[in-house]
Amino acid sequence: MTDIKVTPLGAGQDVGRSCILLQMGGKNIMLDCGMHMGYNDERRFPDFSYIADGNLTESLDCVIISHFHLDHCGALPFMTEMVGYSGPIYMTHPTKAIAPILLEDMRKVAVERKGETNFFTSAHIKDCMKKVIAVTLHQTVQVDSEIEIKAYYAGHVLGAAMFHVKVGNQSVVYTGDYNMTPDRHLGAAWIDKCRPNILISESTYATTIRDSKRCRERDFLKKVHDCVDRGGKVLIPVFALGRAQELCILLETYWDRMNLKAPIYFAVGLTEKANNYYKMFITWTNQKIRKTFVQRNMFDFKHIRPFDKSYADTPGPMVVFATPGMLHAGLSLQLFKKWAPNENNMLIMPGYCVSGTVGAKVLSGAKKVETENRQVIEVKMSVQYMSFSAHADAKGIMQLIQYCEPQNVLLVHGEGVKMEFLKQKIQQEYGIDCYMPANGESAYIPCKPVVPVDVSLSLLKKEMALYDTVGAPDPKRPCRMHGVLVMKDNVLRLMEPEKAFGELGLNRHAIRFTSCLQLRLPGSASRAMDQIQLILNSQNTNYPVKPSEEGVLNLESVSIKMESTDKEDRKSMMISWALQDEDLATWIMSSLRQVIV
Amino acid sequence: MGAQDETNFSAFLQKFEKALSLLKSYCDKPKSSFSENISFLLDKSLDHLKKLDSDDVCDLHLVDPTHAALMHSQGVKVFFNEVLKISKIHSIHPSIMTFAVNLMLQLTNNEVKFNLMYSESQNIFTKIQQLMETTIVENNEFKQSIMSFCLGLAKFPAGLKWLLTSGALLFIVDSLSDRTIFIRKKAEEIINLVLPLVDDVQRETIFTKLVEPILKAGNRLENHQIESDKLKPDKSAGILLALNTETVLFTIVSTAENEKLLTQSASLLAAIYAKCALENEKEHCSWETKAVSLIQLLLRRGFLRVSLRVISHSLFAWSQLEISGSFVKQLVRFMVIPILVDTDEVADHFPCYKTICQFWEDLDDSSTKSISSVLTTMLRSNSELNELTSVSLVALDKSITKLGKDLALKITRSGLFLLGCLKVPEAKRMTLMSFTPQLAINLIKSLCLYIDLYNIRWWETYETICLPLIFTKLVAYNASRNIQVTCAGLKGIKFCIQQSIHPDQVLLLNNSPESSLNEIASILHQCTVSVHWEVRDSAMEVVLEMAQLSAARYPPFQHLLINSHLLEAALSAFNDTESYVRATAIGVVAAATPVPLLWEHLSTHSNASVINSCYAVLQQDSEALARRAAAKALTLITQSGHFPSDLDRNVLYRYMSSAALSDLDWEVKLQALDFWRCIIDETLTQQGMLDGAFPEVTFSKEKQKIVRLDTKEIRSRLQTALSELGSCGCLYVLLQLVDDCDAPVREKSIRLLHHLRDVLANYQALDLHVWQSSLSPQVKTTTFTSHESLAMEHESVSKNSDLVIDEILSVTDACLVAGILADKDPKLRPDPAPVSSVDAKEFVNKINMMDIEMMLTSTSMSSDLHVVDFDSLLDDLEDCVHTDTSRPRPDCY
Repeated sequence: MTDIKVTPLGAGQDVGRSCILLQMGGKNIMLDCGMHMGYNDERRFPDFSYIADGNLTESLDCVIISHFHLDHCGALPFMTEMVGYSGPIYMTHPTKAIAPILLEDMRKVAVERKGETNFFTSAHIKDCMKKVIAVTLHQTVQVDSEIEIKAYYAGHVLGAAMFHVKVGNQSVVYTGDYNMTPDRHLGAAWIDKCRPNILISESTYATTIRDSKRCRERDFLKKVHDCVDRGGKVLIPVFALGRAQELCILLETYWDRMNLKAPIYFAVGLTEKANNYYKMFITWTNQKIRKTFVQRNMFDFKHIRPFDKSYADTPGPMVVFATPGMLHAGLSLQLFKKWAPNENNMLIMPGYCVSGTVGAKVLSGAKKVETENRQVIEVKMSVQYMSFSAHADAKGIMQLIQYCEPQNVLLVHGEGVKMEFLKQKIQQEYGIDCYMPANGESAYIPCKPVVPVDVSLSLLKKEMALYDTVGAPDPKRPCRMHGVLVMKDNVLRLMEPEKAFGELGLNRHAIRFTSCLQLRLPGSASRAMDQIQLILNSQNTNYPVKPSEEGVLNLESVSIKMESTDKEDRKSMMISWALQDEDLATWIMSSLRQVIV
Repeated sequence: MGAQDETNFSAFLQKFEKALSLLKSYCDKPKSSFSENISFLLDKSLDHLKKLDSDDVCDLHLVDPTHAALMHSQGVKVFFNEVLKISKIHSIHPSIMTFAVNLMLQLTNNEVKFNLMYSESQNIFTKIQQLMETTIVENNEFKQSIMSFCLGLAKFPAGLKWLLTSGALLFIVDSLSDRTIFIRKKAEEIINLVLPLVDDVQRETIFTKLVEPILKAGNRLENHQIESDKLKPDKSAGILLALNTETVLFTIVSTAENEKLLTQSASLLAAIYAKCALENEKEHCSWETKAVSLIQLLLRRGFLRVSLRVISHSLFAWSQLEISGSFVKQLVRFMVIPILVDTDEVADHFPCYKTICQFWEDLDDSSTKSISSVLTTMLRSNSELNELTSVSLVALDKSITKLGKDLALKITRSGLFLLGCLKVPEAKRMTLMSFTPQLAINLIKSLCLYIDLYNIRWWETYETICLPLIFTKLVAYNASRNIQVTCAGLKGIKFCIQQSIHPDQVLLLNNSPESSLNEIASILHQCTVSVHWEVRDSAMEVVLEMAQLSAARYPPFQHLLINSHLLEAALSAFNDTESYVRATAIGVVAAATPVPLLWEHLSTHSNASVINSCYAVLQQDSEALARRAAAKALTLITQSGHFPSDLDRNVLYRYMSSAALSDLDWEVKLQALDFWRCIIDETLTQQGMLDGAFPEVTFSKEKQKIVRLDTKEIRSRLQTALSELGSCGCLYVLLQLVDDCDAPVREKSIRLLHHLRDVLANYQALDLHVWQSSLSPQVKTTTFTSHESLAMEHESVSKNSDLVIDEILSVTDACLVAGILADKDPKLRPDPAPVSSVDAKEFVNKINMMDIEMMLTSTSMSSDLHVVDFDSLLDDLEDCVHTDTSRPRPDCY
């Protein structure tokens, strides 16, 4: 079987819950296991019943999670604790540390919303995380005797990784979400030139060349500053961990340098969590200041302080980070209700909002929003959506393809129409096949069968020596090797004949080929041999003719012997050679035929 | 949405029609103006209709009045006619057409509704059928909706009839080979429903289509052309055989080299044999013989893993039938062989093990003996024995519910020996090192499953007594090697303790110094200081289980917990770096609280007071999980009466008030409210209330005699209770939280107020005249501690902000983080403020003015407003019309 089969259960021609099934070399691997936050019934999780009738442990060899965003890992506790998958799960260390915090946040949202059914509990999240095997970047992990995975830095968010999955001689790179442009927060994605059979790449911005994140950050700082300058309040609804900390660093430094006095409050109870986040962040991004960081131990904001509910009614400007990020409940909604009617104030939405939430409504431009008790809030404050997410744009995706030189590309996590455009571009530019299966549709990617063979160092050196005369071989091109192919213990090895015989304990048997030519040559046999020697010497300079005492001529392994027959002028010439000199023997015979026969 | 009542009913109809007209307006707009969000909103709007279909409506084949009105509605008909026009398929966005078909599905999902809709708008059905023949069905989303519609119809006779007569069947049959698995599966489901009703010709058409890929592919190694799930032989085994499928499949099984193709073909064949046996019970023996031959063939060809998978599939299929008990036993016997091979080296060590082996061997009959011996031989020389054993364990788990207790017992015993092999040093194969993690995890899971499912007790299989110790050995060996196996082992120990599997527990003995429980405790102690939080937490969970059981079910655990210093370990874990561990450790202390011996030990042997540690976590912990646990622990400590002095109580009230009022996690607030509920109950009980009512007489502590509780006395006692609750901060907390930003907190505090008001109302104590002011009528407001800093001095910004922004953006976050580093250790939250008191009279006055019922209704409504409110959805749909579709949309969360 040489085909690799890829079936997205989610993220096939859409940006939703990512869940991609990969089948190669008889192994089944699930790449990401995300959820759709918009639904409150079974539609929020991938339909696992499509995987061999839901027998996940039996059907899947492992699950790989690319990063902590819930559209990539949100269904994991459901899968392990409620569906019953008990096989191995892999993710990076920061992802393992941050994912449960976001999952807890989501669980609370679910519990808060009425009509929620079949959702995982806090204990489920914990038990699920215990089953996760954390991996380090560039560490090769052997899942079983055949599957091998290796994580690479993907940018995007803290802990995000691309995974190189290898089964036998086939390999696939799954990018998850990645970013090819370094920004202040995280570096650019990087991967070896691993030449996989398939590169499964996200394509969120398949047709866009994005403005730099720097522009968006500039915009953010300016808008916040303008708002507090005119005495307004800025509300930034955020998720518990991740973007909140990223924006905090920015504001804290800006406030410090500008000597601004307006208070910034962090109302998500996370100034403490921030410590852990930044510790992971430093380890993940920069080794240089790690030492300083660890020595000084604690991280403290000068300008950002914990929020107290009583501050909400205080006059004057302020900036508040509050949860939840979608303005559907809690403190962020309460502050929104207080501040929305004032046009001096500002709401900055830095993340995704599920339809139906106040966040989604105001982002759609609603000027009146109904909240509890049929209370209608007039939205006069300015509303800004700022996406800080770092995804590769069209240029970045093409760059990654160039880096890792895949044989095929498969696009996921993007809109169908945009993918189509990028697909054409990839095919034109790189001349490789590009696939974009829809959800539930399987892409079968044919792969050339490759049989790996070990080659001994001495044989390689010998072959290199042969090439020395014509120059070193191009490492990118196939080249011919000579040796004995030995198959032992299911391993193929190309060896020098002598070593092979030694190792296998065999006696060497040489096979010689002999051909007999009838010649018309007057005189004795020895004279005839002299004549042949002359002919061969005149026509051939590479192989010296060596006569032996027995009257035999030798050229390499070719031996020429003459015998007289009954008739005077007729001689019988025996030419004998070993396989390696087949060409030489053929040449000798044809030359002699032309001249003598 | 209570569309059932008259007013709401017509309002809902109006709104729904409004939504449809909104959508209709899109039909004339360019597709690009359609925001993607609309598809999602449309999907959600159908949920509102679905909700009206209560179970009764569906079961009794009734029509919900709203649905009926929609069917009669002219607006709905116009919408369908407009949206499903063939001439418009290329101009209307597929999502709108999808919505139309999904709406049709909702309006025709039972026989009565279908007939009504059909009589009202037959032409809409014709239009849908016509659309099946156009290119629009190439759109995935639309095709899925059509398939769901057909599946809905296939569930009742009238709908089925329409499918068969309208020509839709051909479309469904074609969909069997659709490119997406979702559509293929739906088509298969429909076909399964349709099959009993179709005539022979139609049936043959269907099956020819079904087996086409196999017949075409033959033995070529194109594995994707055969999908085993496509050919479920549910109602079709006979026909599949008639279509030469068996021959084709058998040829594949006899010659294919590709393992996947081989597994799929052989499993399908095995399933067909099982189904044939069910269809013709009298001849089931011949089908059994065929199944045996199939396995023999696979073994002869040397495909061991495939053989095991096919046996597993066969076991599952045959165990569903009741006719072939002995054959099922044979199949179980084959599945157990990997376990037996894995363990046969222990036979000499345990004489009783031979009995088990003998049991399995005795199951072999003449026809299957050879399979057993071939399997055994092949497995002995296989290098992947562990992996193959896992295959058989998972297979047995799948069928275990059908196997019966006797077989489950035997499998459990065999599994136990496999796990027990770890103890045998002489065993060559099953050493600790050779045990793959996945096998260990699967085995632990399986054993716990069998024991739990069949309620297997120690006297039914004595080997279970060793189980806790076996798990302990596994944990001891893996603790520093494999986190997942260690956690599974600890979970196993917890399971054993819960199930009273340990002999000390089952016999309720005091654990002797030699008891193996001591060994378990020692390993647990080691695990509580593991470097991996997963191990520490799992160990702490076992300790928690022990602490909980020690109160009543198994008191000897009390001594074990004390002697093995596990309680101290829990106390140390209050400062663990991982919040999960902290929360579990606090849980241990909470569970130990009601047990006098444990509480005494905790109080005397810990450096810091347990209560102070709980305060520290409640006030300073960064994770809500730990704070919640601390609040719960403090509640339990209070309930157990461990706060002797008033001073202690005041501190406690301060912390719990602060948790209820200032914590940023609503679950912590809820837990704090639980505490205040306990305080209310306790205070009322102290005043003589029993089970929510005052008895006629009670013993007065002050007067040291029995007193009669008349209305006056009760009011006086209630006043005392309210004064106490007012001065401890409880009433202030409740009054404050009715306006909390979190709906669950609001709801709970309103319910507590409701409870208090009911008590007062029962004894006519809501009249203000009966109250005297015992405290000055003040509700202390929280002061703004940092108002000075909030008073904004608008200093002129001297620096150029653009330059500063440039400076900031030119360096990395890592450098900025370094700049923000501070030497000091910041105090995360300020100490809790003193409690605020509320006068009893003032409180009564306030609750008199509150419409508590109304507050309760609005609170429970508000918490699901954005999910179930149709108005909100309509707003969203309307807003989408104005949304700029070119704006980048949020892409990830």
